[in-house]
Amino acid sequence: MVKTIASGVAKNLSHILDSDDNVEIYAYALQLVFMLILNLTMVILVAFFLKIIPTTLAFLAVFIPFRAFGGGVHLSTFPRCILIGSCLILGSACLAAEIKIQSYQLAILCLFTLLFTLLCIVRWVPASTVKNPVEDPGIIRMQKRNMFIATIMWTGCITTFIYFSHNALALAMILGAIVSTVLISPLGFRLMGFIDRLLNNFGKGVTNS
Amino acid sequence: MMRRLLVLGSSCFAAVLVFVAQTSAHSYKWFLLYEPDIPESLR
Repeated sequence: MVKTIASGVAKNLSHILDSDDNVEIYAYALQLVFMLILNLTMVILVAFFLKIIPTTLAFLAVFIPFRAFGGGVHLSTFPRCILIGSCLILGSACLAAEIKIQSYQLAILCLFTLLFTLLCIVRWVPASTVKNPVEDPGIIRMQKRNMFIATIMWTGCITTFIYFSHNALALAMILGAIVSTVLISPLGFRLMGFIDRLLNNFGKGVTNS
Repeated sequence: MMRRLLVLGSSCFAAVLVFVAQTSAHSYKWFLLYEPDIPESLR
C-alpha cells in the first residue's frame, strides 16, 4: 500500500514538473519517508497509551542514529519489519520503564555494551544487505567514523543520566544500543533470517532480502 | 502566480526527495526497519 501511494504521489510530482526522468527516485524516497513517518507515529502512539514515552524516546534517540550509520538486518516485507521492529522498540522501552536497576549495574552494562559496540564498528559497520551492498572503501570509512562519533555521544549521555540518577532513561539508551548492535552483528542476521523463514512457512513464501 | 508557486514548491520537494534517495542508496540509511528496492538509476 505504501508503495502504491508513493508511486501515485511521484507520478503527480513529475507531472507538475513536466519531467518523467526521476519518477523512480521520487517514489523510492517517498516510500522511505512514508515508512519512517508511519513507523514512528505508530510507535509513539502505542508508547503514549502505555505511558512509556520518555523511555521510548530515549531508546529511539540511540536506535535511529545507530541504525542510520551502522546499517543492519531487515526483514523481507514491510508489515513484518514494522511488527517485529515495534515489538523490539516498545518491549525494550517497557522493560526500561519497569525494571529497577542500580547505578553500578548500569555502569557495568554500559561498559560491556560499549565494548560490543566498538567491536561492531571495527568488524561489521556498515552492515549492508543484499539489496543495498556497501563496497566503497570511502563510504565504509565514513560510516565507521560516524558510528564512532555516535557511540562517543551515547557514552556521554549515559554517563550524564547515571550521574543524575535517571536510571530508566540510561537503561533505555543502553537497550537501544544493544538492540541496534545485535541487528548489525551476524547474530542479528541469523536471528532475523530464522524469523523470516518461520513466517514464510506460515505465509505466502516471500523471498529473503 | 499560483502555478509558479506550485512548480517552485514541487521543485523544492523534488530536490529534497532526490537528496533522501541518494543518501539512502549510498551512505545514510533513512529506513529504520524495512529496506525498499533501490531503483536501477541509483545503483
